[in-house]
Amino acid sequence: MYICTMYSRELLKGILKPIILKLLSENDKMYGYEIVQTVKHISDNKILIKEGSLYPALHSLTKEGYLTVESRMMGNRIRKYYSLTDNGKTQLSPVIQELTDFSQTLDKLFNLKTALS
Amino acid sequence: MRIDNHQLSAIKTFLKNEGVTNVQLRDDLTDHFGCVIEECMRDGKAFEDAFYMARDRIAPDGALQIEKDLNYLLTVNREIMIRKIVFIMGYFSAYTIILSIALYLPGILDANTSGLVAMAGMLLFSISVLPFYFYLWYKKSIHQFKEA
Repeated sequence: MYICTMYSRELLKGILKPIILKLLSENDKMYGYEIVQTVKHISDNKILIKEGSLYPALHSLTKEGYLTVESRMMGNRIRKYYSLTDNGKTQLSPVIQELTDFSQTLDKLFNLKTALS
Repeated sequence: MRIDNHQLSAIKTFLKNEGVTNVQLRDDLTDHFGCVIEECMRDGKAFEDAFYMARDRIAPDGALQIEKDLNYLLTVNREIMIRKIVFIMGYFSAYTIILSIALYLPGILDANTSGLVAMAGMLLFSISVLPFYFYLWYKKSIHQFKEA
């Protein structure tokens, strides 16, 4: 299920948690719908996070201690805002570094292929 | 445009009927349904149409599937660890039983000692592997019963 997107689903497996961590590092706190809409907007509709993947990932990150939850009443319903814990902030840097490094390696690899061909 | 209490109640009833029991997840999904429905209603759709659109968008495989995925994510590491331990215990118990026989037959161990070693292996098997096996069997039969 993971992420519905213009890109192959296989390509994007495993980057949902880094996306959530990165978004929350740039925004103090966010709720689920807001995360989906923000990713959709930033990626020019290329990455549409499926709710069926988002909430398991958010709850899993919360259990792992990377996120904290704050419930607020919004009109007649409860809205849960997720934010990074100190542990989550610490985790962010290596995760982003790993993804950036991976992206650069892919870039190098495919440029090399192009050069060879 | 915000959904009213009656409409909110319809969302909660839907999630309850779908079998979502995790309260935290239910709150998340209720709010998410509310946001999507309000977005559709702002585009001029009636609540019923907006609700069905939200359902197809948020939970195309059913809301319970989201809870199942959540439970899987939360327990997968623990389940793998338990299986590892049980398999290791199973291996050691089988090894101990075989060892007791292998050492008894050529006369390296006497009957009493090899009996004790075999008993230790059987004890290990009965307190580690058997309970796990029956627990899995129980879970499978409950699952089959619910599916039926």
